[in-house]
Amino acid sequence: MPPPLQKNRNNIRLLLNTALYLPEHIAISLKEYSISRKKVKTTKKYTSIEFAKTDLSRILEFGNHLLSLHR
Amino acid sequence: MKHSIEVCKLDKENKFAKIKLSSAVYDLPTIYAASYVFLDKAYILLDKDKNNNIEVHLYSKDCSDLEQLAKEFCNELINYAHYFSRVENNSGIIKTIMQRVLFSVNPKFAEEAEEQEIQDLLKELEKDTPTKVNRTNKKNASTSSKK
Repeated sequence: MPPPLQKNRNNIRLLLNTALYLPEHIAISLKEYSISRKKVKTTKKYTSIEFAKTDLSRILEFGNHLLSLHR
Repeated sequence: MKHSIEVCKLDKENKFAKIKLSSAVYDLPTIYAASYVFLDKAYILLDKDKNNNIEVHLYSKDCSDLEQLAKEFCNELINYAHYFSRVENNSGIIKTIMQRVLFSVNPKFAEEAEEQEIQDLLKELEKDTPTKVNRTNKKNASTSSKK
C-alpha cells in the first residue's frame, strides 16, 4: 500500500484515498490552490496529484485544506 | 490489529509520525474531528491500509516532538469518541430539551401541540365509545329477555 506522499527524483506525488477524501472536496481544494487538472489522475482507489519537488510545504497545506472541508 | 505510533522518515530532513488506528475502534467522523483540532499544530494526511485500518500521518509545523504530538492526537481521538457516544446515548433527552426550549420561545407551538393532543385523545375516545355502547345494549337486551 503506497503512503500518501511518494517522493522521487523529479517530483512528489500525493495519493489521496477516495474513501477518505471526497472528490468534491478535492475539486474545491484544487481550485483554491490553482492546481491544473492535468496533474491529477484518478483511479477507483486513489486520486493522485503531482507536485514539484520543492513544493512539500504547499502539499501539506493542501492536505490540511482538504481536511478542513470536512467541517 | 494493534494501534501503533511510529516515527518515519520522508527524506533526510523531514520526518513524520505514523499512527495506525483500527477502524473497528475509531470511526471516520471521530478521526476527522480529532484531525480538525490538530490542523493548527500539524500537517495531517490520512490513508487506509489493506485491512481497511486507518493511518494518520502527522508532520509537525514547529518541529516539536513528533511522538508527543502523536500521543496528544490519540488523546483527542478518545475525547471525540467519548463525545460522539454520549451524544448518541443522550439523543432522546437532547431532543426533548430542544422541544421544550422551542415551545418556551414561542407559546403558539405549545398551544398547537396541546390542541393536537386533545384532538388525538378525542378521536381515540370516539373510536372506543361505539364498542362500549354496543356492549351495554347487548347486556340490556339479554336481561330483558330473561325477565
